[in-house]
Amino acid sequence: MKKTLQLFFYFFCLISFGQEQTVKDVKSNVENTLNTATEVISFTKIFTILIVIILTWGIIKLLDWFFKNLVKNFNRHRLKILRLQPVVKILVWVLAIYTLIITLFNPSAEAVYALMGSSALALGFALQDIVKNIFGGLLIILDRPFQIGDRINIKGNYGEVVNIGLRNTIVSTSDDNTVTIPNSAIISDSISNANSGALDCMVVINLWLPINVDVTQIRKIAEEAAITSRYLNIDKPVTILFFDHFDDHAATKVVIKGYVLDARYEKLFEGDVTEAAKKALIEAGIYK
Amino acid sequence: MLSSEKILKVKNFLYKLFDIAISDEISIIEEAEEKVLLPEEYLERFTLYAIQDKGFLKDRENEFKSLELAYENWKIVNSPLLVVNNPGEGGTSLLHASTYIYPSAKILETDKSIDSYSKLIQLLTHFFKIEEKITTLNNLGKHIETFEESKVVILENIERLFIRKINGFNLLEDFLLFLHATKDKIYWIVSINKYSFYYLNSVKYFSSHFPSIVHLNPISNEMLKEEIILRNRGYSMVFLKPLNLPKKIEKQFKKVTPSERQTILESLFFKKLFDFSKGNMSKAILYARESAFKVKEKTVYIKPFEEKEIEGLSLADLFILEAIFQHRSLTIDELNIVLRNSSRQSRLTIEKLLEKNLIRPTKNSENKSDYRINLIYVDVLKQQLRERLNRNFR
Repeated sequence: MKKTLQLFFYFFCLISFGQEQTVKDVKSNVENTLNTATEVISFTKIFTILIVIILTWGIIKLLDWFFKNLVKNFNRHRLKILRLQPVVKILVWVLAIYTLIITLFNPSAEAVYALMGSSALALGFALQDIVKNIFGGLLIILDRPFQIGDRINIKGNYGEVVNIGLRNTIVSTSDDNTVTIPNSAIISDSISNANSGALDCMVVINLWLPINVDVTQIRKIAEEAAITSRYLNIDKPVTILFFDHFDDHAATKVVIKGYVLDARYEKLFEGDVTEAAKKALIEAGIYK
Repeated sequence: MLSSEKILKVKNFLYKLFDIAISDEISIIEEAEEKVLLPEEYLERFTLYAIQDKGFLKDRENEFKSLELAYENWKIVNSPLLVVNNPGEGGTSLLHASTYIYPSAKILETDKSIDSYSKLIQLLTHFFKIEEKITTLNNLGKHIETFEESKVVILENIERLFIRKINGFNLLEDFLLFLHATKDKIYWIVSINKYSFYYLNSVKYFSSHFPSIVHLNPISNEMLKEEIILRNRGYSMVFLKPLNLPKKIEKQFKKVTPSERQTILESLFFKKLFDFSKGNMSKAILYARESAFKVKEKTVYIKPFEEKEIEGLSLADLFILEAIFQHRSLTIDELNIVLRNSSRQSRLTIEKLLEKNLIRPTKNSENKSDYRINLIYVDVLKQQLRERLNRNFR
């Protein structure tokens, strides 16, 4: 009995002593954690992050406004100006992130390597698609298969490139729809580019006529429909081609190839030439 | 050190860059209130007219030499001559004064628009005094072949023979065929507006029909100055300070006598006149007229004219202006045809352009209003067409 009581006493002492130690440990741990947390997430640091983000956002908006005005006032150099925009914007973001890391954490080289290693692993699994898109965006900017202002056709979406971002490229179609295409999809697909950085682009207009038309007369009408259009780039040639088709119905396909003065007026040019040609063809008794 | 003029230019550029509106309306109103109506007698001195006599034509020796050479060439190879000129450059004066080279030359003059075969044939048969009834250019050509003596014909503003529409080039093309068919008997001297030439050359290879082409060179600044002083003869000229006087000159002013000040202001005025006119005599005369501020007895006060900046032109405005440039002048009906517009659309845009003073109406022989570009804004508007319509016009 005495032995049992002694054992119980020792056990009680041990628990009492242990509890006191645990409480102390827990207390000191909590204090340490709180200290570290207030060091890491201090009011100053949160304020700094907010200021940097607001400033970066402001600069980006200011840049957007600045580029918009540049484009408005120097229309002839529109495409050259627009090409600079994504590069400058990415530089601003990179600078902002760099400033944040340096001012907040001031990491040592070892920490950077460790962070890079672990984040590469994490990113590899968790952010696969985003990383692919970002690298895709960088590739588009460096390799330049197209630039802002170009008319491209990708995955069946034809339109003007209005923005090349780090993750997506935005294309505005002729129906005024905005199509957002992930950059990773763009680099792995074939792209057709109508103007490749030039202000003008070739427009192909098709006219379908009966098989037995007088080609000399049609050539004159088609050519003059193009050269009298206000939207024509008169410094470049107009080509007229004829093709016979015998699929469902025998027909003559007239192809008018001309350059529009600005790729933005592509559809207006197409409509203008078609309208003028159609009126002349009706007058000539070819269309009834 | 940057002069204040340069600073002003930089300021204007930055304003444009950041899209800040420059409030120049106030100064225009102030100017309008200040400016005194000038007497008719003085304004008449600045009327633009074509010179007929070679002796009165300034700085055109090289052009006359080119015309003489082209005539000698025609005697050997029978090639027609094309004279390309900008509005106000003096193309008409040059052609009228060049008749000394070919004493039998006749100038085919008409203020009527030649927009149909019948009008052209009527004009030519009347000109050649052919009494026979001729209905086609082919027949007219055959008739001309029977002429015993060769003739020299000067036809101005050939751009009147086309209109920018489907089948609108037929008359011009047939006239060119007629010109080639009759070049053995007739030495054709044809003039064309520079912008029409640019358009026709791009779409119809127009220049290939003319082995000899004469372009008019800018007139030297000395000659422009001489002409302006001549037009002000009988009046003593007092030069006033311009609106934006460079600071450097303003500082200079404090150190010099009133007569020296006048010398500085005179050179400043002529510098601005040369920059504005770029060797175009008519533009220089217009500039001098616009700069005349006040006339009191036999003294004219001259304050350099400030050209206003043209902004806010829409695409439709530019297309109308370009169509007028291409044809030299157009009526509303012609504008509707060229631009495939409705009459209402064209009239609305025309009213807007008239309001801005960019075009001016003139009455043609059929008592219809046709519109042409205001000479004062010719260069500025061409620059706009270059910038915004991607035209590579030089």
